[in-house]
Amino acid sequence: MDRLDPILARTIARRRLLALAGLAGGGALAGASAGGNVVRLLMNGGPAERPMAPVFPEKQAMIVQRVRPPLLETPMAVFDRGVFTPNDQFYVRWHWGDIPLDVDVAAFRLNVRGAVERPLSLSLAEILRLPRVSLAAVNQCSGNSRAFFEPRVPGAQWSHGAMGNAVWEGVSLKAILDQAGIRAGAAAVRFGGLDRPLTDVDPYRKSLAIDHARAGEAMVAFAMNGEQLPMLNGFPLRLVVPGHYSTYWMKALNEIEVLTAPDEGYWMARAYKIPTTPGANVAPGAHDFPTTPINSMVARSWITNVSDGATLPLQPWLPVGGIAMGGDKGVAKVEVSGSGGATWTEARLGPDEGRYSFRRFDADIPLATGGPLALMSRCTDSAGRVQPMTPNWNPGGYMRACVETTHVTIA
Amino acid sequence: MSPSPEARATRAGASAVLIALLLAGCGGAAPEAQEAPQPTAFAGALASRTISLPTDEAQFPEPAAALLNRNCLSCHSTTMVLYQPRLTEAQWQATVAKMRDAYKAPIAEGDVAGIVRELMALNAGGGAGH
Repeated sequence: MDRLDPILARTIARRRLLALAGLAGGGALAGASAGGNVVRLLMNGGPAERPMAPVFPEKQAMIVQRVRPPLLETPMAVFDRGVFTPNDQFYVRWHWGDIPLDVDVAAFRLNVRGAVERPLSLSLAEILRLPRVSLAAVNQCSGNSRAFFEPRVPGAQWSHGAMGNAVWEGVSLKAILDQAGIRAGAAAVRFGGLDRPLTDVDPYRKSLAIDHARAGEAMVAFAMNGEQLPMLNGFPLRLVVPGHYSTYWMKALNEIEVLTAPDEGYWMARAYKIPTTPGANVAPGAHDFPTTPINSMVARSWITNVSDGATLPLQPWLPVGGIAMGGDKGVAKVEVSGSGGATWTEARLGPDEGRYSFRRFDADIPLATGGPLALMSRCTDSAGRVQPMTPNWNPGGYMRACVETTHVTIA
Repeated sequence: MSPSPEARATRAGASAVLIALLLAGCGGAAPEAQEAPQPTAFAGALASRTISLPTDEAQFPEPAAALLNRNCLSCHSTTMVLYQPRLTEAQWQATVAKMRDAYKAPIAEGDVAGIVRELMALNAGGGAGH
């Protein structure tokens, strides 16, 4: 709490500076909510309105869930334009108010310490000279789609846009750990970034079990879709954990620590915990159940070419398309339904960008008459697991992955 | 790893037209349709960055929001509260307890009941009526 006053004072000083420079971001947001650029999210019970604001650095218009610290959601229309999410429309989620605003690439170091033979302090120039790896992977917030939980749960009220897909390029985490030399008895690897809490609590840090950390797929990324990362997405380095929820993808990564015991810090032991039941599903209202840290993602799909609530003209065939993901597996099949799930038609799949990427699907649904229509898409992953029709529930609002419905009217 | 540029361009073009039509039809905010990004390998050097974030001067709406303005805004914007669905008193109590105990928000114990009361009053307008 000792840090709150200086942080607040700095924030206020910055506000004055910005006001002087005429960069009144807050004013722009207030203007947005008073008129024009407001989006309505479609959860039951609201509050539904959010400003759409292009006032964040290196970002186009985003759905503003929170200015400070930033929670910025990607509008669904973006996902219809391609399976890769542009960097300037990629969602943003920070936990603490003190986030990195200034990174000097010459001074920055990635430190590797703990149970290692040779502690490292790597410059970005040194990292850029290491052998490179590249991979397409979906980054999805654990609480993506939380606003659709029924009954509703507290937390960031995300619609479906707390996710994005990019080609990540960087250095294999395994290569960095090998360079440091993991000592016998290592149990986990903990990751920390440049953001800092405002109070005297554990900084935001996350861990992977040692075998996962050195399995070869996790990456220390310095590029996203061919460019350096936006500051708000973790410049200069971000941990990429393919197939895992974004809570593990440490932004502004600057500390890697090899631990000889499981990480008992707040962010592993108490936060981002899910029920151990299949699909992280418990009865609404339940609170005493065994939990485990959230981990692998599962299959999901979204119709993106038709907006929920749209009125469409009667035509012989309605094109229905969108994106699917397989979680930690590939997308094997996507089916669509125009009958609320009574009948299903297999969709055509777009190019395969790898098992961790979004994959485009398209199909045509025959239309006989006008009236209301419940459109659905359903993904089957390469292990044969199918998206369930029934939503899951847990008090954290994590891991929603059921078949989603898009309601339209044919007129 | 990359599909043919033609395939992507065709699909993006077709989708863009469809989005434009749909958005025109439903009167929503219409972001400009664009080409899909074409990720390429990173060839350049990393460049130092300095950013400024937009500010958020918003306070909780009166009446009776003094405790919220004093206790919540050091760490986060008002919308973290205002965008919550209608929550029960027990859920708000648990939320305030989490802010105090897990995140060490400097909230005086004597203020907790008043904060919960203000949250409930504010949140009564949340949910369906908002």
